[in-house]
Amino acid sequence: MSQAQDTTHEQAGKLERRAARLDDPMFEKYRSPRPRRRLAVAMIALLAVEAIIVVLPGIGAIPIWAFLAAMAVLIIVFVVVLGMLKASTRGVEELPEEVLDERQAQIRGRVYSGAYRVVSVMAIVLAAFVLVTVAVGWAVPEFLAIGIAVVAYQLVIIAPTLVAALQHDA
Amino acid sequence: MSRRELADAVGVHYQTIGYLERREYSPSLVLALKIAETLDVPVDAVFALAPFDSMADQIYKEKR
Repeated sequence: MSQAQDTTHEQAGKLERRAARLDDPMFEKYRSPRPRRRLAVAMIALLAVEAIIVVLPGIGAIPIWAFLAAMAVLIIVFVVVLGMLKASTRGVEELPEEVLDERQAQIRGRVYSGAYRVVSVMAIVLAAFVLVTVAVGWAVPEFLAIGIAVVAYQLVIIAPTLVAALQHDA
Repeated sequence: MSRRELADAVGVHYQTIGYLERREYSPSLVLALKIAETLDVPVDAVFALAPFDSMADQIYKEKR
């Protein structure tokens, strides 16, 4: 067997294992609409908390060590909630088509088109914000610009998972 | 044959068989043919454009 075939087999094995992990019956209790909605709301709340925490050191409300500690805790909670959200949708938004069946691949397409709309709206809002700040001559404080950039970046990453969790048949 | 056995035989997730049973998903022609082949029946015995009559209706019509 050639090295290229070895790599392909290895990648296929990794994908199968990832798909099996996301399909674990252990997460069955999260796979109905209500728990998925709750997880999605928790994820949005975490983003809001993150936005607040990012701004706090900039206005001198908390020392830098407290900021770093809060961010460390937040990242751990974020990873756990995101993992539960992905397991609740069996990872249809994350897995490639090779490990999905035709119905799941169809849902994946719908999820990505929904996520595209969410991210487009966010981009329009951000563009409008920048235009307004330029028009009124407001120098946006550095901490606020960083906060907006961090939260926007994370929203781009989690948008497909949030949309998948809010679809009734994912 | 269980849902999971049928799903494994035709290469889909077992949840997809549930969606087909509840008429919440229309399969591709390939999947419909695979299911019919696995169940060893013609494809129109499993899938149709109009809903099938219930078992009771079919028996009652035959008796009339």
